[in-house]
Amino acid sequence: VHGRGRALVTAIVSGAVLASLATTCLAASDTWPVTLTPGNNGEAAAVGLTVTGVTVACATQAGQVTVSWDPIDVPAGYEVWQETGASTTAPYVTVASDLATDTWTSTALGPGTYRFAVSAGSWHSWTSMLSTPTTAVVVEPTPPTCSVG
Amino acid sequence: MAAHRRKRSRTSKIGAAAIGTIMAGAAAYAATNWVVGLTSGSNGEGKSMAITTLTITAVSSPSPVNQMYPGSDGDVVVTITNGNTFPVTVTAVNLPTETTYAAGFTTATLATTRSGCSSTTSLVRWNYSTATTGSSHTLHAPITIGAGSSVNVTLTNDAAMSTTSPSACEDTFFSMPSLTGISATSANHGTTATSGTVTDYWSS
Repeated sequence: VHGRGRALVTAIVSGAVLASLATTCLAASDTWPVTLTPGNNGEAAAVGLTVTGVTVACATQAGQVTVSWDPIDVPAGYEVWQETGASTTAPYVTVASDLATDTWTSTALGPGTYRFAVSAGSWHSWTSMLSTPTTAVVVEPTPPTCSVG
Repeated sequence: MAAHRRKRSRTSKIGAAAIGTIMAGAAAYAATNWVVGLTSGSNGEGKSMAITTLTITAVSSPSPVNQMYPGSDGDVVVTITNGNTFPVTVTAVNLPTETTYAAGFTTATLATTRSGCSSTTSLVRWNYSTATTGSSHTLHAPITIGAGSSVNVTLTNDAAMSTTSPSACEDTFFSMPSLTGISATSANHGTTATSGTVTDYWSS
């Protein structure tokens, strides 16, 4: 009688353990829709168009200069701006626009001191500020020579 | 006679096991059927487990790798926190409508609003959102979060910027529209909880 009682208890406990495991595993497979309160969200960011790495060099042709810059990583067109004069406060004027490349060569420049800057325009009217200006490039009159810095 | 006793003993054991099974099943159901604190709209009642405390928050770190410009998609960075006492696996998210837009801010801490780039003008929305609020979008890979733990998740290209988003939204950080819900399960046995930072997405 004593042995049978122990067997009975063992069987009940075993059954309970098995059922408990099965119930928990079944529960694990349920998918629950959970409503979120306002404020459960995330963060994203939009690019800032900035042109960097703008440099100027004398071109092979006398009086011409080549301006180069680092391309930005979104579809964009570029504008090259030129400042004429020894002063660094003279206004910049556009000398090339809608460029798809990351380099531009001028026509022969007259004697003078020049600085250049570049801006980028993406689709749909997004534009960058002017880049940091290049160092000055000086074009001498006779014979036309070019020197940077 | 002995054979008869053995048969009766086996029958008793089977019967006892069955009783144990029923008792334990009832007890387990009673123990796991608590539905605590679900907000209105949740329809989990009557099932055997309740997942109640999950939050999704905007975070500035790590920075989104893919940043938006007009007509493009960008990453969304979130932290998912599991406040439950058991691991949870997140399988899908529910989005607001496609005309619910993000608000723009000048810094990654989302402290100062960007003039001209508000939740009415930015035209930045969750990617694949529809005209219906609460549309469900399945994650490419389920994310398992340990009990009382958090996971940083970069949702690759799950924000979208309209081709006509204003230039005021340039160089801007966005607080995305609130998600309306998520789908989750209690984690299966043996599932390893995700830790640290993971990348995931939905694509439809």
